[in-house]
Parts: sequence; structure tokens; C-alpha cells
Amino acid sequence: MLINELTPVLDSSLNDRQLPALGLCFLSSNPSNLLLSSPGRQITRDQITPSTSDNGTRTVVISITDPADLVLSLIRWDGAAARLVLLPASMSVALIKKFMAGLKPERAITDRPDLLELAEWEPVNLTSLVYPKHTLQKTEWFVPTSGTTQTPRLVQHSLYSLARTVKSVRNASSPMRWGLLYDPARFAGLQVVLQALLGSGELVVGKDSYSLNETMAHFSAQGVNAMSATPALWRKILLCDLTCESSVRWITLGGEIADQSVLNALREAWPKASLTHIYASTEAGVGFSVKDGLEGFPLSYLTEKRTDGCQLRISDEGCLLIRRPLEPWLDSGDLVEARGERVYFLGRQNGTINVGGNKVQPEEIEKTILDISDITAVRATGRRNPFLGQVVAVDVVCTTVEEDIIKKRILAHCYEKMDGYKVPASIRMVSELPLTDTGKMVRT
Amino acid sequence: MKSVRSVLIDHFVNMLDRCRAPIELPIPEDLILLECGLDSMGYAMLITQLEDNLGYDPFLLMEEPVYPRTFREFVGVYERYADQRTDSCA
Repeated sequence: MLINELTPVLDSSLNDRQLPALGLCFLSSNPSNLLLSSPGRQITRDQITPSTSDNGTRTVVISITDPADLVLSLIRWDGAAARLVLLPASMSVALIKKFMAGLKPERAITDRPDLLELAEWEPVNLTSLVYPKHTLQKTEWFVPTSGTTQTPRLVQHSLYSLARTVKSVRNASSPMRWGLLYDPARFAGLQVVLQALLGSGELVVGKDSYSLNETMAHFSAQGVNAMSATPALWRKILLCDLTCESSVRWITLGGEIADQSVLNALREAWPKASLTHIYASTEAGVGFSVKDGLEGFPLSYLTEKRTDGCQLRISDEGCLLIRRPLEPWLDSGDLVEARGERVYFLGRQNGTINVGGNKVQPEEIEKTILDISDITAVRATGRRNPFLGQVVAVDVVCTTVEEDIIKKRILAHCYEKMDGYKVPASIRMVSELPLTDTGKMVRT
Repeated sequence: MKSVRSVLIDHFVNMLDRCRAPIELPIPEDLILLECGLDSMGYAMLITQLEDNLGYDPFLLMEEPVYPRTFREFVGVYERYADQRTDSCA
């Protein structure tokens, strides 16, 4: 079953108002018996019951670490609350207090011990799993943006705008069983949750305390056959003890540049899986996908009328502009370059390193060094230098080769492949490179 | 612990080698830095490595950056701020 054969669940002619709330939507559109599977818990459709006790709560804030409880809370409150605000479980208490002061919610629900010490917060109570029987209001969802270097902002969405990209699988011999690797309180995680719930699939989640290895083992035991992650997270996954090799059928990548080396590595690990790279913007609420297993995207995407409703242009500064038709162009901040029939991603414009007047993209350095076998992760940054303003510095993860040898190999490779000013002035070996809770490499 | 001068010589020679510049040992004190075969990139890298090794960048610590002309002056700049040294390797 190829992902190309999927059609959008939501007819674009549907008015927002016609879309029922999440619980009702799941029950009416998804034939699956299983709603959600988490360690020790299997939640089936007959376990969620309609509730009529809501009377139009204005604002509900949730900050929940357990992914299953978070998803069940989305079902609980969509259609019942006027505003549903998702604050990531990793957000500090100080920052949460600031948001709360502005939001003034009626209900604030959490499973975090640190928040439960505060008066406004109540514990998660899902002893009965309910969904609003009647869609009392079209709930406004407030979803945090990534904000790795700045305070996250809350972007307003509706179920309709979040589920716009959900595809329904026709005539599937077996359902798409999605393993959730992202935080379900964020845009990327919500895409997976909604794809599973509304796209005739099933959702498998781990536990917040699980390591990546434990999560992958759990997914394997549960027969997960579809996964979505950032390239950086996929590289980590490829290092895990993987036992679900044969069952994985659908792989998607998003959130960062999917370079050819990670695409090749995934193809090699799962030769039968379909490989889709998704480029999407939380703010624009639109994106496009690439399914040919090659990095970048076809030049034709810039000119053709697309069924995903996404329009693309390249700005004079070389950045990718994106919009839905008739809406204002949004500058993605991603530098791109058209070469032949392909458009390639160069990196974040605000990450450009300036080496004595020469502009260098960290992503290019990382890509070059990742080509060296035995190297599993790289981060390139600009390092202050009195002579040239900045020079390139890299942190490298390599557990199988001795430091002196791999450093020499890196330098030789860089001198061969790149201009001199791009060669790292400093190479530091690290045991791992941390990822943000949206699965992207931390770049500060 | 190796002297600042020793550390500098080691890295200087290493960088000359990497840039395929001629190496004369011992390094003449009045070697003109701009004429010895290292370009600005070579120097930039050298200073980065010295900062990684010694723990300080003297050019950052100076109020007014004064760039050394000869090898002797280069060593002098580093020795002047040697109290900022944070490495403890031999």
C-alpha cells in the first residue's frame, strides 16, 4: 500500500463548522477498534463514552508528560472547551507561570509533580474516558512552536487546520500502526496523532521515561509499521537494536533537512518501506512532501499547481517562501538553491557562519562530515575568531574509531571536499548531540 | 607542565605542515609571520587550536588588539596572558 494512494480525509470544501470534535471524528471516520496502545494499556473505541456534563468551559490548559493521557485529554476537551492550550511537559515552571498569567484558564490539568504544587493545577483524571457527546464549540487549539533558542509562542489552530494534511488509507490490508516519537503537545506530534486517529490508523505511544531503545523495542512488540521523526532522531534510531525491520512500511521525515545520507541509510535499513520527506511550517499550516527518496525537491514544485495547496517561491535572498493560495507569503528562513531540475536545502539563514566574509552553512559542513563512515552525528557552529570574525567548529559523535585517527580523517576529507575556509578550525569529540523535544538538533 | 612557548611551537609547526609551508627548526625568533606560508585561515585555525589547548585567546583579552609581526612577538602575546591558562596537561 503506497502512501501515494492516500487521499485527504478532509474535503477542502468542508466548512470548519462541519467538522465534529476529535472524539466524534475518530468514532465516525476510523474503523479501527484500537484507539491507542501504550505500555500496559490498550484503549479501544468502546472504552470512550460520550459525556453531556460540559457546559462550555472557556479555557483549558494541559501540561501532561504521559503521551497516552495527553491524547486522551485532547479527546476529552476538543469540542467542550473554547480554548485548549497545550504547554509542553518540558516547559519550566517559571515559563508556565508566565503563560498562565496571560491565559487565566478555568481548568489547568497536569500529571507533573512540580505543577501540582501550584494552586491552579489539578491532577489528570481519566478514570472514565469521555468525549463531548455534542460539539459545544469549535475549540481553538493553541500549540507551541519549537522555540529552541527563544521562548516558544503559541500558535492558534483548529482541529480542521491541524488535520488538513491527514490522509485516509483506502483498502488497506492492515492498518497503519503509528509509533509516536514526537511530543504530542507539539505540531509534529499532533500530525502523527491525528493521522492515526482520523486516518483509519492506530496509535502506539511509549512512556515519557522510556529511552529510545526501550521505545523502539515497545514499537516492535506492538507491530508498529509507520513512524515519523526528524533526520537527527532517525540517525539515533538507526543505532538502536532494531527488531522491527520487516514490519516497517511507512517512514516519514520532517522538521530538518533530510540529506541524501540519512535517506540512503533509511532505504538500506528498510528497503520495502515508503520514504517520505515532509516540509511543513507550523505557522503557514501548509507543507509539501517528497517521495522519490532524493534530497531536496523537484524544481517543478515551484511552478506547478499542487494538490496539497502549497505554493512555493524563492526570495531574492535565496530563502524559500511558502503560502496557501491567496494568503500572504511566509518567509521560511530556509536557504535553498536551484541546481538543474532540483531545489536543495542549504540550511537556516540565521545559522550562517561568516568566515572572513565567506558565508558558510553549518548544514553543508555537517553533511560533508557525515559522509565519513563511523561518524554518527555532527554539529557545526560558528566560533568567534579575532582574525576572521568566525571560524567553523564541529562537535562530532564517533564511538568506534580512536579520536586522533578520526580527526585526521575528518580534516583530510574536508580539505578534499570543500574550500579551505569551510574546513573546521576545531573538532571536538562528544558522546552525543542532544536533541530538542521536537527531535531537532540543539544548535545554541 | 609544558611552557606556553613549547605549546605554541608544537601547534605552529603542525599548522605549517598542514598548510604545506616550509618548516625551519628551531623557528627563528624574527620569522615574519606574514611571510612564512600561513595565510589568514591558517592563523585563524592556529589561534583556535591554541585556545582549545591553553584555555585562552589573548586577542580577546587585549583591550586594543595588537597583532604580532614576528614569531617572537607572537609568543610574547601568549606569554603576557599566561596567567589565564586553564589547561593542566603536560
